[in-house]
Amino acid sequence: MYPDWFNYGAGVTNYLAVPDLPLDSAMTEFDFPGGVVFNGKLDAVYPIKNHTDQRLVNGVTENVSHAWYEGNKTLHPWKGETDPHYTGFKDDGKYSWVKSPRFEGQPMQVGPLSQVLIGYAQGHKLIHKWAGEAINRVSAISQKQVTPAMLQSTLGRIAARAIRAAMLPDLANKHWDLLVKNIASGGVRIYVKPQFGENELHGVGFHEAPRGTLSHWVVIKDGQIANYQAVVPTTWNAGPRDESGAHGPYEASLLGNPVADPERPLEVLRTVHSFDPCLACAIHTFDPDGKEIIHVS
Amino acid sequence: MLDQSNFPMPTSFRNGVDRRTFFKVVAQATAAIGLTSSLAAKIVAAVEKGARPSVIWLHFQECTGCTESLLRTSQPGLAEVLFDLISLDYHETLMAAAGHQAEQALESAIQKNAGKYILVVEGALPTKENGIYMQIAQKTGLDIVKHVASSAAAVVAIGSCASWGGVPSAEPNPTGVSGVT
Repeated sequence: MYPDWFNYGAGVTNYLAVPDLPLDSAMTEFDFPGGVVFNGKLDAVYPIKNHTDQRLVNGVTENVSHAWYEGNKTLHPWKGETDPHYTGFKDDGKYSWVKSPRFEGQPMQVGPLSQVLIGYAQGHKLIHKWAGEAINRVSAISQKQVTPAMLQSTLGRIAARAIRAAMLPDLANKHWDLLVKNIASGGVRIYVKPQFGENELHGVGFHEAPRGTLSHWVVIKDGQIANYQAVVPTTWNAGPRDESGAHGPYEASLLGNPVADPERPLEVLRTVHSFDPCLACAIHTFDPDGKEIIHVS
Repeated sequence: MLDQSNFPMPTSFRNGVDRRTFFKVVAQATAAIGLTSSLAAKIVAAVEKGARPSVIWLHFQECTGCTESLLRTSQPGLAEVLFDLISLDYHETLMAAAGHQAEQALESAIQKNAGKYILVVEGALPTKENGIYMQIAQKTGLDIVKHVASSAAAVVAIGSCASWGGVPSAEPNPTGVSGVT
């Protein structure tokens, strides 16, 4: 237990999570909560009740000012462009293959921490059960009273992953039983044949994956895919600065983090690992020196 | 990783096992890391002498699924593969080192085992624009594989991506991937 790591790594304290584990095929009720929190204000959470929430659907954009794609535009995924253009590492220019997703122009942290905080703020029973259990245990071990707000840190991010993992077995049996009941009552259809008219169609799917909010956006014209953009959890977290210079979550969490030995920056690893990166999905971002994003103290 | 020259008899075999079972276990282990069973005899010989073959594993444009499969191997289990049967000297997902220390581990494994290590490649190799679409420590995949393969005893392409391009090679193959061969 490293209780001082509650003091580091808060980074971007805007949180995004989408509801998941639907209880009905109309997707109106879910066992995992969703919502948005800005600036760590847990008392002002905006709940996201389902996947058709218009604020959610309309609020997502991706900017490529600092990513190796043509231009510097900020585009909604339905108008998204992905034209790779590698120009080498330029600290103030483009330095990543990852785009910069933003929600209503703000960088957002996604992942178990986001979901735990958003659920906690909404009084979600199962989150209160397990977050409470985690907080009690950590407080006992560290001899220090831990609060939910302290979860906004590198250590909190790791604890939240465990909290979410603890919630799932409670829900697994329930969802298994629901599936069995559904099949027993005749719900055996697993394929819906796609039928597209001639109009242009826009579709989006959301999922609260183990690493955070995942969204796939498609534009269909004449029955064919005209555009497909995936904004995946690690893109939200690993993304570089946007056009206004606002840092992405990894970057923000590293700023001001003490590093004992710059030749062996374990603290950088620990901070980035706390986000559980999936770079296979987000496209690898590598900063060879790290010096411009770390302030050694 | 452990110094191979001083490595004792594999712990799992310390209580005695017949040669046939031993051979079977090694054959299964070699399959788990993507080698053909004909190499099992060579590994048996090496293990009996107390030297575990050095394996260097490179990741290119991949989903890490082949490594995930390796992690779930049973009969033999992963612990037995890693501690008793091979010396996994470089593997970005599994190794504790990062940054300069990882690069040093790679170079020293290459030098110490020149001509004798098995190179396993997971993932497709981008070739467009001289391979800039996948760089590790600012070296392109093309440069890395040429360097590491040059003194390997054998190069194994594990999985579809390394073998022939796999998913990254799907039309329009934007990064120009081909299999590592």
